[in-house]
Amino acid sequence: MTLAELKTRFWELYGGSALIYPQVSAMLDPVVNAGIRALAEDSECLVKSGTITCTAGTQEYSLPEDCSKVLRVSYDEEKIKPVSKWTLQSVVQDGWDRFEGHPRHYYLDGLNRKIGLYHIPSVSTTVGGEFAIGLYYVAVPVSAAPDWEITSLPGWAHQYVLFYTLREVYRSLHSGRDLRRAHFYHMLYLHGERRLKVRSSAPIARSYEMRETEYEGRSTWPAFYPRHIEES
Amino acid sequence: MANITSEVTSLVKTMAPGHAERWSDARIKSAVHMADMAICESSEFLWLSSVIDLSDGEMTYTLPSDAIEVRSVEYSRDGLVYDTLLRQTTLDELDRISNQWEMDSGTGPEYYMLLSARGIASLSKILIWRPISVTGGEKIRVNYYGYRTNADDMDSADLPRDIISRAYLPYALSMLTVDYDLELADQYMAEFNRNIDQVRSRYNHPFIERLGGVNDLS
Repeated sequence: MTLAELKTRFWELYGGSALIYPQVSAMLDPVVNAGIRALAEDSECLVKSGTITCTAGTQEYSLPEDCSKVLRVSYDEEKIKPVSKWTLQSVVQDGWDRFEGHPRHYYLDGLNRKIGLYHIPSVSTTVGGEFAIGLYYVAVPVSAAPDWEITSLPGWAHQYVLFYTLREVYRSLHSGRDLRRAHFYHMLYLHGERRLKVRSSAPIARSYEMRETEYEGRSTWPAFYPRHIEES
Repeated sequence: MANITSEVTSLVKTMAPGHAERWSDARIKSAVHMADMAICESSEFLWLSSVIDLSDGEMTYTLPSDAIEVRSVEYSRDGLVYDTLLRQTTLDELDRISNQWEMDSGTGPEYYMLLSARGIASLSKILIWRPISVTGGEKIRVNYYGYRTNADDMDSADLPRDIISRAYLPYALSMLTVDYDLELADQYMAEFNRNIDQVRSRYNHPFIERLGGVNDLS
């Protein structure tokens, strides 16, 4: 569903048009965008990978603008481990922000949206992409063209943005305020939010080790059971 | 079996003779499409497949935008016979195998991992590991539950009549009546929520073969 289609459906459900309700029409773009962001942030449905170019001697780098949670960090395609800045300061003490070498750890400066490396890289990222920081992260839509934002949600969830928009319009302080209708759409939105959360967590591959037990000296293990069952 | 849009349109006009002139056919179709997306998502009955050509050393590929959930991924060396089932994995599991898994390549993938919720156009990705350094016609086939992305796709969609009247009709009527009769819309939505479990249980019966999609259930 494009943004234009979403607005068409909004007017179908609201009953009217932009000409009849100019006040509501003026609210639509910001409320739709807020709905898209709310749904994406709550469900963590967007996972992206990306790289950050390093410069020799520089410890901290800005995280991507759309990054909300870092899942995995690598340096030169090898996983590096998280460490807190406090640990570095207390364990390494006066050298943590001076030592150069091959980074094995990273820290996040969440307030300033920075990622820092320890050791500080001694070489810059090459043209071929070697010695770069690799990231897997949860992304959120950022202020860009509105159609980019709507496409950052699964198509089947677009109607829940519509319900969010209707809820906000019905509970806003204008002449058409209707809290009962706002509640109706609120319940539909919450249902969609739950569904998207479920869909955003891919089933995790697990393996189970089944243990043999004994009862009165006899094994309770059926002969035909495998020892190891894998579920993917 | 009946066409979903035609059946709902006919039922709406029969059940609400006093109000039917309120809604154009296009408006009913739009409501039916909204119902279809909600039902496909919650009941998982539209079984689809998509073939992806593998490229040299490429690890991530874009998933189809009409996917709701990936159920299996098959691999074919020659692009004709899909004889290997890939195992689903996670970032943590790959890291346990090797800290440098991103640098690895091989002769054929064994694992796949999904990035982002399924169905986000151009942003839902599948990552296969190990990627093939030099490909020669290798493909993967992604089998997934999907949904119909456009309202026009509903024109050729058929389903058993009882599913249409139990699930599609109440949802569509709820969306059609909400702007002038909230209590009625609320009742229709409650009816939909009660009936959707029956639809789900019917399509998710463990012994139903789904290879031909929902039409095999008629």
